[in-house]
Amino acid sequence: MIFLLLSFYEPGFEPAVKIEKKKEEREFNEYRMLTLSIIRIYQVTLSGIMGDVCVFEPSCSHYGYQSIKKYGIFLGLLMTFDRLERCSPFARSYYPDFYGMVYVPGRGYKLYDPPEENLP
Amino acid sequence: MIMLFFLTEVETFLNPSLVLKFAQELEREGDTFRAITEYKRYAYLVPEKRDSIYFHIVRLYMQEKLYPNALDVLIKINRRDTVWENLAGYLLLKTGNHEEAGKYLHGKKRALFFAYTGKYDSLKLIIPVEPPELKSKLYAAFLSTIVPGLGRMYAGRVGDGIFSLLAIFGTGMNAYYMYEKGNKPLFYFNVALAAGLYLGDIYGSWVAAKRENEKRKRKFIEKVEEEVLK
Repeated sequence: MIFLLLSFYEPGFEPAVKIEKKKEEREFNEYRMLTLSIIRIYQVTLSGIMGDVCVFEPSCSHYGYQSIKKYGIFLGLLMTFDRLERCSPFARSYYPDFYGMVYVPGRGYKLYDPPEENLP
Repeated sequence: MIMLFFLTEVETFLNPSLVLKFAQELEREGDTFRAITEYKRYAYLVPEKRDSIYFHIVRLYMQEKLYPNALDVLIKINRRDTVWENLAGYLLLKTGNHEEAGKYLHGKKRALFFAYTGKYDSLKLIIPVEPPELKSKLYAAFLSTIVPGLGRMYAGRVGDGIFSLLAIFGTGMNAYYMYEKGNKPLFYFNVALAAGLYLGDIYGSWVAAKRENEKRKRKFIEKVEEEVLK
């Protein structure tokens, strides 16, 4: 039995590709979960009542959700507040220098502004 | 019957002059990708003209802004002269390999390398162009710290700046109004919102300056490209 177990033992053996969980999956942050939950609740309740008022794609709430999920609560919240201030009738005047235009089924033409383009 | 047809007509299908004519016709029609396939077929049928045809394919890919594909074809060309090297350098720049591109670009074309890598002093020695005036990200953030929205205005986004100022001022005033009324929950909510918007504005000014610089650099590179490639 011992011989059999030892036959499987390989000193220094490591898998060729290490499967590492992403940081965001590994760490459970209750503040982030709370913020994301608030955004989800807003999307399910108030967002539907207010209608499609955002000029961007992804919309401000989706942008906030994605940025907090990807970049953590501090940077994510900063990015979200920045986006809320940019979501105004003036935004369309910055096309095409800063934003691209994209057609979103059901929402029409929107300014394309993903979180990745607004990193510091 | 079909087999017989193909066997008798195979010489017509693989006639190099007909293939070339067909490729040119497709190119004239604007069907670039099918034209590229036919040009490749012609290059296969007439190996002695392979290099010149491959150069043409590279130009067609460049026309369609498919730079990695153009580079793939360029590598297959055996003729390695200055034209080839300059083209390779240009395509390497377009595909993001800036440092590698520096090894290939010669003469006036080397200006492109300096423009892409931001070495404006060296660029000036080749072409007399003024480097782009870049906005300071730190200064933009500092301006927004003093007066909300001012940093965005400095970065060239006046509308966003005005909107930010109004948003922060509005929530601040609302917080004060709630404080006067003695509504503490709404007072705290508005204070938190105003603080968030204020910090977001500082961050936004930094990003706006960064993106403005990117835009200016992009336009400058376009200008240099126009100057060099004309």
